[in-house]
Amino acid sequence: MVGGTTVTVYLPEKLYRDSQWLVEAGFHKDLDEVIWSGLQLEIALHSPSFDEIAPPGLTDGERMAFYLEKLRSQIRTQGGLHLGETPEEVIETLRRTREEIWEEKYAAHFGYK
Amino acid sequence: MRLILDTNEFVFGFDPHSGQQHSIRLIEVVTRLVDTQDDFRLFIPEIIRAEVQRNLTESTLGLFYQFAKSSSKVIFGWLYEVPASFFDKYTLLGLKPADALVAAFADWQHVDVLISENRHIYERLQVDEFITCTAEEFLRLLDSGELERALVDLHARRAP
Repeated sequence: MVGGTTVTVYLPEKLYRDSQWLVEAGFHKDLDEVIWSGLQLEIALHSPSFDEIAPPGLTDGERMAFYLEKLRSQIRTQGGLHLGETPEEVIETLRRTREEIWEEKYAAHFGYK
Repeated sequence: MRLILDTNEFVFGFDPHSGQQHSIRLIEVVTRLVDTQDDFRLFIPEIIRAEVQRNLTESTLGLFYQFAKSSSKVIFGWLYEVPASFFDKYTLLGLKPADALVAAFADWQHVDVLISENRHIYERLQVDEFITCTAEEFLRLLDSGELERALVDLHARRAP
């Protein structure tokens, strides 16, 4: 591999088994990809732009309110989330998402496949 | 107080264009409860987290996680460890498996209130283990002071 660094990672047994399951279920091609994917997601999630970082000294609730307002502002700029014309349509969209995730992640685990 | 907000509450509450004023206010109330109630916990079961993630845009996703990770009182809940007996209990009550999983998690984690705008799922789910209601109903209970009494009754019903 060009330009990479090899590191040794300790995984608790359960996390290792769950990671193997992600490979066996076809979500990732190997354990390396599982770990890369997790790291990339974490980096993306923790990398807000400068003006999106809450100022210091806020309480937890104030910090949540700060990010809530930023989130709403961003959605407002986009003109909404566009998940449906009516509340019922939005709920139906979300129902479909729930069914998809159930099938992908949980159906086999809970004996439905 | 231990709460679960269904995905629709996050989506309606985050989107200023949703027109769902109760859901919009509910999210704001949650941010205040984090600061005012020591025992407040907001649980986000994994399936709800994934649903929210899939329905937010890339530019808003990080803000959702910043929002959720601002307090240790917001807890992401892993679902693979929900005991089968809890899950079976709610499928036998007629819930679809995915909805039964959320209900089973609520029961297993001693959640007090599960708030959802999807009446089709939860309107007939009147159990002793937790309260199900809409954002409007929850806010009415909270504003009137009736919630405290409802939680005392709930905890009494749960007691062995």
